[in-house]
Amino acid sequence: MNKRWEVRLIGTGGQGIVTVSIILANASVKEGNNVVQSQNYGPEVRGGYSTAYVIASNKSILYPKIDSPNVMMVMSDTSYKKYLPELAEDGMLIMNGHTEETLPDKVYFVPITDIAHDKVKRPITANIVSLGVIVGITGMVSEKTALEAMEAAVPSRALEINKKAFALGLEAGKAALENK
Amino acid sequence: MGEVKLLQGNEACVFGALAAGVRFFAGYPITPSTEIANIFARELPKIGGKFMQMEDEIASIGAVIGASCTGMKAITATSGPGFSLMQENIGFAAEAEIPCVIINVMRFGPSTGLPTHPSQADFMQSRWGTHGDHPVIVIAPYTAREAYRETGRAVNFSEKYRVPVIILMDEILGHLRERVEFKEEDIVKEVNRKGPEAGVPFFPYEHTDDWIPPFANFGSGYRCHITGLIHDRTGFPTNNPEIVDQVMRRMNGKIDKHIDEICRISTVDVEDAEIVIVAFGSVARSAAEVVRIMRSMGKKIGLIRPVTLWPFPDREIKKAAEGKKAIIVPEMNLGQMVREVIRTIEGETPVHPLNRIDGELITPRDIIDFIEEME
Repeated sequence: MNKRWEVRLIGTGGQGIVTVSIILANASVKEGNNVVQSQNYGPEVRGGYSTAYVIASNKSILYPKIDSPNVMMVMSDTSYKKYLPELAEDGMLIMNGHTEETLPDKVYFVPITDIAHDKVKRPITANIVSLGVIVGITGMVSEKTALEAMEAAVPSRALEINKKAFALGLEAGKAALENK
Repeated sequence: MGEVKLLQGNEACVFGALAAGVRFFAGYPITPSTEIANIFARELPKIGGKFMQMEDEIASIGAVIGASCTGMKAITATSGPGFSLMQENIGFAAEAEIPCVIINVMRFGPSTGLPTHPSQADFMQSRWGTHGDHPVIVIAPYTAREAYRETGRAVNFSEKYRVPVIILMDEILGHLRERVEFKEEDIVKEVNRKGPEAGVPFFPYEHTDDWIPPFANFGSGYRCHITGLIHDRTGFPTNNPEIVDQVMRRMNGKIDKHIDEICRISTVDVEDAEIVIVAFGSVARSAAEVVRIMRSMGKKIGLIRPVTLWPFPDREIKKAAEGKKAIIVPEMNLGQMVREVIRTIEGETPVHPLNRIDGELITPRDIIDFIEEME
């Protein structure tokens, strides 16, 4: 990898986006990159805004924050407008579902929660669907390492359902990329 | 060694402490330090250690002091509001010379402030939070890797010098996870407190050559009296001015006597630098980025990063700052370490504070703009 990835995930507390960011970070470490992952949230336990981010680079990472992400994924529209201006000029925006708002050129609409609800039939897996979508669209880590990192992060009793969620997300991500 | 993993700053503190032999944690969870309590609760029972969740921070530090008296290596973790509550007993531990480690993952204050936002405003509190002249050591890591190693060093210092040691983290470092590759120099070697010598009459506060009295753990067969009142070598209270003076000078002086081992700074490109940034904790990461960016533009910028904050590394900073055009001290507070830098440099070089108090990290851009404006 000869690129610096700055990925911001935006959602609501309880949606599992911090978990997704940790899985992405672990996968990127496995691929030999320097990685920093963190999250911001408000004082509420759930329901408040929640954002997580991952920086991956082949250079050492000193400053531990992101200024202009080249990937932004929005799971719920609570607070994404605040972050939208940050998106790098040719950055990719991944939106869960559709919106009529004016958005940057490189926007990918993927019905992430619908996939979790209708196809995986487990709404709670929406975050793992989103992991598949990110990997499918960006290719920032390989499918194999992403899958391995995901398997290490979920409880064994939920492994099969999460594998299904990941595969469906991956498929949807690739389709969104092709349709662009 | 050579192990590579994704490690959170808070998590790194726990594993550094365990490597140094910590087997007791008592605490009251508080953002942004909660992960430390969570991970100790998971790890300690596996290795025969004890985890206690207490009713508040006053009880937490009390339990830590009690456990330490029995010979266990003991630690607690908190943030600003809890750190404030702990101050009285930190003074007790300093006066009674009981080894203990307190991790303060700084959040924005005062009071409950901004629980999920970083700050460096406990710099002075970490040194002077409890009343009276007292010894304390404060260490501030800036990466997860360093959080591991420095927490280990903190535990060892507390045991060796019979002193409370504070690890001063901040929300950013506590919460971030990063790739860590452990090397040879990260190995934490256990240091144990000195016990009574067989065949020699035992006094729990003996004025020994190294100024550190031997510690008889409770239950080991020695008679000890532990009090926060000023005491003579027997451990019993005294107000004899001559003895009080002697005891206070020894107790405070034991740190200065070993300052070379305790003080640690790290520098980047300081030698030929014209402008030097002095920063600690996560702000030092932004500063290191500034050095990288501005050096690539041909600007002579350097960084001095105190790892040991207290005792303040006067000598090291004075030497590194000698002959520089300007010193910049960025801090996430209204100017605390800058006072120490000014005191240390004694008017030889202009010192400029750069402060941010909006709950956000000082960015490399902030520092670069400041330097460009200054020039």
